[in-house]
Amino acid sequence: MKYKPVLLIIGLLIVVAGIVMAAMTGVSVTAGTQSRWAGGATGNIITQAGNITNVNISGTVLTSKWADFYGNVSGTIVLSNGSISGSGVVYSWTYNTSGSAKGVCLTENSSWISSSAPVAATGANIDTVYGFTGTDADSGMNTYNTSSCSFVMDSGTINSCGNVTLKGNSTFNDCVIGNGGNTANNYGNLAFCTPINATGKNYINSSYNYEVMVPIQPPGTSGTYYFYAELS
Amino acid sequence: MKKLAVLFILLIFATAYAEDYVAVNSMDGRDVLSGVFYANVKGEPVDFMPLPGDTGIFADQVGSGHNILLIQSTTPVSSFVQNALKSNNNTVDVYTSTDAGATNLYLANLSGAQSFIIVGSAYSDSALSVLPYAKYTHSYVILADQTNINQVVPIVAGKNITIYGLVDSQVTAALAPYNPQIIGTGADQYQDNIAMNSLYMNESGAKTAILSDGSFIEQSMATSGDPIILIGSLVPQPTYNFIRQEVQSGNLDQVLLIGNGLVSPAYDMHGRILAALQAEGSNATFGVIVKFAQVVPSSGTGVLSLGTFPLPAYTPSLNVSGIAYDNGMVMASINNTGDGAAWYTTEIRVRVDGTDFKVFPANGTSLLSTGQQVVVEYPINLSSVTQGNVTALVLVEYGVSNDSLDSYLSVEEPLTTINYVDTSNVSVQLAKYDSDNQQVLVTLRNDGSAPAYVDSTIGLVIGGQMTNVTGAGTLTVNPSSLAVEDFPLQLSSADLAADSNVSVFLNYGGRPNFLLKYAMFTVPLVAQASNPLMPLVLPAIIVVVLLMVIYYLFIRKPQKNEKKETAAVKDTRKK
Repeated sequence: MKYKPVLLIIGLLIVVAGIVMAAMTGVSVTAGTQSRWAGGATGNIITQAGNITNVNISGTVLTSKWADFYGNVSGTIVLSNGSISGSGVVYSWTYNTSGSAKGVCLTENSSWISSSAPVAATGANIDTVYGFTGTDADSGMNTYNTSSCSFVMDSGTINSCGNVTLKGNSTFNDCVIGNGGNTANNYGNLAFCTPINATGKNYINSSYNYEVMVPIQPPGTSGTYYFYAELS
Repeated sequence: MKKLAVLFILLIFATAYAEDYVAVNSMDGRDVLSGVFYANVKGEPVDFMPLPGDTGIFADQVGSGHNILLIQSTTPVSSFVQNALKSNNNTVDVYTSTDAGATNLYLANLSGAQSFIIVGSAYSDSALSVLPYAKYTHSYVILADQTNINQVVPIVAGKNITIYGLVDSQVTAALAPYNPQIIGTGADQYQDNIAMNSLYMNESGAKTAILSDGSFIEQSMATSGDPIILIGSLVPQPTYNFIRQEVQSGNLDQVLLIGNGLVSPAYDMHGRILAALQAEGSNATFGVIVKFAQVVPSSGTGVLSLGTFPLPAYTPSLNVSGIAYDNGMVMASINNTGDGAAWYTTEIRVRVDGTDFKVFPANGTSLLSTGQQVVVEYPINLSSVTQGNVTALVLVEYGVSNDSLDSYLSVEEPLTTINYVDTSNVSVQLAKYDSDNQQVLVTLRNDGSAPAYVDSTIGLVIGGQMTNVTGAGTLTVNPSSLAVEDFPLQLSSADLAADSNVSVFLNYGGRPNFLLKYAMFTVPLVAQASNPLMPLVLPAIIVVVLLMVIYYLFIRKPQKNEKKETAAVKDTRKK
């Protein structure tokens, strides 16, 4: 038997919402499902002539413009013979999640958004790129509705980004950044990011390291979101 | 009329695939690469069926409303891709690939490229290394080797040609007349990759690079145009130095990892470079970004692994085909049985009852072309060994890079004494250039009494430079017989003028595994004039056929009609 030299391996494992994410080597990938609100039951009122009925109307509809992803970023340092798990591992250490990665970004760009340092983008830019009507209640302007986000990357801090503070029990603020080319249908020019939070909670108060809300292309078009994490 | 015919033919070709999207569905990575090369030359989007992959998700990623050229192998990843694409309201033209090598050349022609990059067909890492530069320069990448170079030359002749990395000597020789740009030496895949990226980043100004071990292709590698820097489970020192230099000079802002596989070496390299730069007082920095998953919202699925297609690194293959002790020499014959050239070094240990008696250590590396054999031999005196089991252990380290011999083999066999008298006697009778078939033909003669086995190489001036071209393999020449070795080459009139004589180097012997004899001959290179009537043969045949048709339609048929009319007149008269 030929023994391989003992190696120091750092593995980065990223888990999403009960879904083990795309680790390409050495880590298994299991696709899960996205949860979606099924809508409320249709109400009906039986009435008879002569009755006076007061009906207060309020409603909640599921947005067709946004989707949400959350998950964990974790890592392990192992001393091993080349294996990353099992009997080949001499010792392993838990990796400092918050120290190992700065943030997670989702973008429709298959090769990251910019060949150089990204710049700030806004909710209005989202409307332009995704073709949302700015006056819609769930438009980009009305979602990423402040510009108080400073997103830190190795290439520099991006200040004054449009941001959204997620609701429910979420502890995450998401920022929108881009490459400056905010033109219609060029979806790959924007990225939606959040800093890694080792003690973060998602909208249902579960512990996760990131949660990102992203716009979805109009019905009838296709798109693919890619997940990126920057190591620090 | 002629102009109309030409226009018609051009129209047929132009509309044969009026695609605006290229998709590939093949289990053969060469089809995937060829589809990407083709699309990048044409400036069209391209997507390939990943392995493993899901047809529905693939179709959703391609989208709708496209005119798609689907390059589909006879061994596709999925049999349902065409229907899935059509179901998404696309029109689909299928090109069926039965031979990925042929498809690479077919698409080279179809692309209309005016610039070509030639890489060794065995090395997928070479294809990946040049892919971004090819996209940037609208060049098509041809996967070439000694078996297809005759088909490659007509495609690239007169156009811009770049040769990258390790290629067969026949490829270099055949393209030499066209003054190709040479990138890399072929001695080290990482050094060649650095040479490529240095040129590309300087020309393009690209500041994001993809780190890859070359073992797969993913969408970003296919289409982004980001330079692809090769690393392994460790970052080679020259690559580390290159990245550090580019970061320090502000030419590299971030590197992108596809998946988690290379997180460890990239993370380590990142820290080392930043620490080194800070120690020098530099505040230059760069980011390491990991692309780790994807989701296709329109498919309604969960988060997915990245769509990749494996491109297994070429694994060189050498074997030790014989070990012998002959006339005071211990010798081992080593053959390259792989599809590409390999660097190797050899150590021989002569042992008595398992204990080293004499060790001949490795001494430098050499390159062995595919199909070629080398005999390593050392003088040894075994007269002092009066008893015991004498063996020879041959250790061969080899690899595709001169600096990284990462494969090895060992063979130990009894070292039986052979008193073999090699009676083979091979000489060169004639060398001539066949311009019609574009090959140099060397006639060999064996005056010995037993069959001879010959490896031959010719040396001649091509494009102003002395070039050695190795034959395709070992040729068998029967006793008192002639045999012809052909070297596919296209020589210009200037080459022929410079090559009035050709040097022929022979390694030969009476045993196929031990080509111990060496001879060099210089013989005149006879230029076999092209038959001046040859170009007229095909037109002549066409003219004859046309005349026959005209005769049949316009001369013979009316005669028949006249006969019928005459018969009718006779009948009338009778009546």
